[in-house]
Amino acid sequence: MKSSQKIALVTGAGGGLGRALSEELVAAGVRVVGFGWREKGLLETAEKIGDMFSYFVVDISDADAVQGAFKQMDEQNLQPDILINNAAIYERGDFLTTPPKTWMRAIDINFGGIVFCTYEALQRMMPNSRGRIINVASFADLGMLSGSTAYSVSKGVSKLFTSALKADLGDRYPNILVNDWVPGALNTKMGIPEGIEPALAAKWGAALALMENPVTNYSIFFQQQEQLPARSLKGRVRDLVLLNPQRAPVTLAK
Amino acid sequence: MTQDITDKHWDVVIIGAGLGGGVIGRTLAENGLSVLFIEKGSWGLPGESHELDETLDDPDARRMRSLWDRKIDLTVSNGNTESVYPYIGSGVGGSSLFYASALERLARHDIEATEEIEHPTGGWPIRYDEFTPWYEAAEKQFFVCGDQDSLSPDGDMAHLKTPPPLSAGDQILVEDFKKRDLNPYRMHVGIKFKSDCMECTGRVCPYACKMDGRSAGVAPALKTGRAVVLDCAEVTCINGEADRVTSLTVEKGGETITVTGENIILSAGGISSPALLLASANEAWPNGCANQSDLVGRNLMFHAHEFVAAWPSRKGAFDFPRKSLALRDFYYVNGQRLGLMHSLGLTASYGYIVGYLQALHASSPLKNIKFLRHLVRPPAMIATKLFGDAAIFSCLIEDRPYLKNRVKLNNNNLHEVAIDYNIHSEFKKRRNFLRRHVRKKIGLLKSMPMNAKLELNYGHPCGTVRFGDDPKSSVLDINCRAHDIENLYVVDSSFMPSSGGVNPSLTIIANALRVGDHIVKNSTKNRNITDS
Repeated sequence: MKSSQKIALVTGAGGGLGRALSEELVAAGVRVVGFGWREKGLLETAEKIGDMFSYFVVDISDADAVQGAFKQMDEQNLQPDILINNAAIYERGDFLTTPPKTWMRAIDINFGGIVFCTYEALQRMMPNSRGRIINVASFADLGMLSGSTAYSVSKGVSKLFTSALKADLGDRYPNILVNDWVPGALNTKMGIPEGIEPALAAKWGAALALMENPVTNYSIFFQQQEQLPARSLKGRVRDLVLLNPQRAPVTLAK
Repeated sequence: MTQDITDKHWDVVIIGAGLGGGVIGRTLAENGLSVLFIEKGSWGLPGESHELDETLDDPDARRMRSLWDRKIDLTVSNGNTESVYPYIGSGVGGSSLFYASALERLARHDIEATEEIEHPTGGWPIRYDEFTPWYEAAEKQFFVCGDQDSLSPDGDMAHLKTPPPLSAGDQILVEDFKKRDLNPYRMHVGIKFKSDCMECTGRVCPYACKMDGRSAGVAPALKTGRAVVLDCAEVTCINGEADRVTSLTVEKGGETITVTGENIILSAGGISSPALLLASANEAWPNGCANQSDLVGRNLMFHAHEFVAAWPSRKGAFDFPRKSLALRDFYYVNGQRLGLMHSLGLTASYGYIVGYLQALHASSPLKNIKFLRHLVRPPAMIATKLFGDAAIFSCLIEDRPYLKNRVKLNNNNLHEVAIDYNIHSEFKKRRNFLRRHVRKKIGLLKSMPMNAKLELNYGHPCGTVRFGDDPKSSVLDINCRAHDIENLYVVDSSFMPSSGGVNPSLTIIANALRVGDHIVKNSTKNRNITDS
C-alpha cells in the first residue's frame, strides 16, 4: 500500500531554480528526491532542507545512469508522483566554431534528460493511472538568439516532446497531468542579475506541480498564468454574440 | 515461450480473450484444465483509461488502444457501402473493456415463446428456467449491484450487491417516473464502486473496479497457473478433417505457428467468429468450418437505440452514480418487442445539447450553410438555464433475425469482412411506436428525443453462429458445440438466436459458465473412462 506522502523528483536540484523548487515543495509537505551531476551542490541543498530531501548523483544524459538511479529509488520505495524536469545547461557558442559534439551536449542534457527521466517516471506512474510532470521550458525557441542555438533548439524540441506525450498518452492516461512551465529569466547562475528571484518563481512552479486540474492538462504556463491559444478579434466577437463561453486561463495562487 | 505453447497439446484453446472467452477460460482453468487464450490484441498497459474512439483512423494507434484495427465494408439497407471500423474492442477483455457494464437479464419471452408472446425463432433450445441459475452465477462472479425490478417475475435476487445512493437528480427523476406510473429500478451493473471509481462507461477501467472479461475472466484464470495468454496473435485458420478440428494456424509477430488442443472454443465476437469460420474453408469443409447449414454469418442482429434526454421536475445534479436507473415499462408493449430503457451515464449539459443540435443541423438540408451551426448555441444555453441538466437515457429495441442480414467475406479473405444489413419496415414501425410511447409516458415538455433517424447500435452484434436443436436451422447444439464438429464450441454473442431487449453481456457470461460446466463434466468423464 502506497502511503499518502507525495514524492517529487526534481532534476538539477543542486542549485538555482531546482534547489528553490525543492525547498518550496518540502515546505508544502512533499518528500523531494533531487538529481544532479555535482554532489557538492546537491549536498548544499540537502543541508539547507533537511531530512525531507535526498539526492542521487546522476548524469541525466545517460539513459542507463537514469535507469539505475530510478532502480535505487525503487529499493527505497521512492516512486515519484511528481516529476519536474528542471535540469539544463546554458552555454553560449557560435555554431560555426563550436565542435558539433560539444553543441550536441546541450541537446543530450536539456532534451535527452527529459526523455530518459520522463520514461522512467511514467513506468512508475502508469500503474496508479495518475501522476504529474512539469517540464521547465523557455521561449528561447521563438526568438532565436545568436550564439545560443544549442540551448534554443533543446528547449524548442522539449516543447514538441510535451505535444508528443499528449498524442501518445493524453487519452490513455487522462490523470497523468503534464505541463510546460516557463518561469522567465531568473537571477541564477544560469540567468541574469535583473531576473526574477528563483524563490519567487519556485512558488509558482511548486503551486503548478501540486495543482491537479485536468482542464489545464498539456497547456503551457508562463510564470503563474496559463497561456491559452490566441483567438482573433473576429472569433472573440462571434463567441460573445453566440454565447459560446470560452474558458478563462487558470492563474496559480502564489 | 512460443515454443512452449506450440509444443503442448492443450486441454482447451480459446480464440479471443474477451467476455465469453475470458469467463469460460476461468471456469475451465479453475476446474483443472490447461487453457491457452489466443488474443489478436494486446494485454494492454497498467492503468490505461481511454475511450472506444471509432474515428481514430490509424491501425497502429488503434492497436495501442485495444481497438479493432481493420475496416469492414458496411452496407445498410442496400445503400452505399462504407468502409468503417467496427465498434468493437480488440485486446484482453475485448469489447467489454469499453462496455458500460450493464448486466441485465433477458426476459422469459426473449428465450422461449410464452402463451401470450410469440418468439422470433420459436424459442431457444433451452428453457428460461434452466438458464436463470447461470444468470445468478454470472451476477455473483461479476459483483453485480442493483435492485430487483418490480416488473420482473424472477425469484430471489438477494445476491445483488447494494449500489451507492442515487444522485439528487436521479432521486427527483424516480419520483417523477413513479408519479407517471412507471417502474424505475436500480440498474444492474458490474462495478465495484471502489473509492477512486470513475464509472468507466465507454472507457477502460484503470483500477479493475469495473468487472469485465479481463478483470473477472482472464486475470483470475491466469492466477490458477494453468492458463496462458498468447497476445498480439491472430488465428487465421481453423484446420481439421470431417468432424474434428486438428490445429489452429496463428500469426504472431510476422511468424506463422501451429497450435493444437483437445477442445477449441471460438469467442472472437459476433462479427469475427463467423468470419474466421468462413475463412477456414478446406476440402473437408468447402462451405467453411461448421457450416453445413449455410447459416454461419447469417441472422446478424444489431439493436437500435433511442436516446432521450429527461429533465427532472426540479433542478438536481447528476454527479454520481450516473449509470443508475433502468425501466422495463417499455420492454414489451401492446404486443410489440421493444427493450430496456436505462441511464446512459451521460448528462445533457450545455455542451452536449449543442453537440446534438449541431449534429441535427449537419444532417439537415441547411447543412451547407456553415454559419447556422453556430446559431444553435443560444437555444441550448436557454434550455440549460431553464431546466438545468438532463439525464440521457437509452432505449434499446431488438431487431429480428433475417437470413440476408449477414457477415460475409469478400474474396474469401479474412481481411475483407463485409456486413449487409437491411432495416425492415416492421423494425422502423416498432421504433417509431417506442418513440411516441416513451414521449407519451414521460411527458413532452420534460423530455427530448436525441436522434432523428433509426440508429443501429453496432456494439451488440449477435446471432451469426446460432444454437438450436436442428442442425438444418442452427450451427451449434444446445451446449454450443458445433453440430458437425465434435471439438469446437462457440461462446460469444454469436450463439444467440434472438437478440432480446438488453445488452447481451450478462447472457454471454451466463452462457459461457453453462458451456464451461458442460465441458468440465465431459472431460472428467473422458478421463475416468481412460483411467479405468
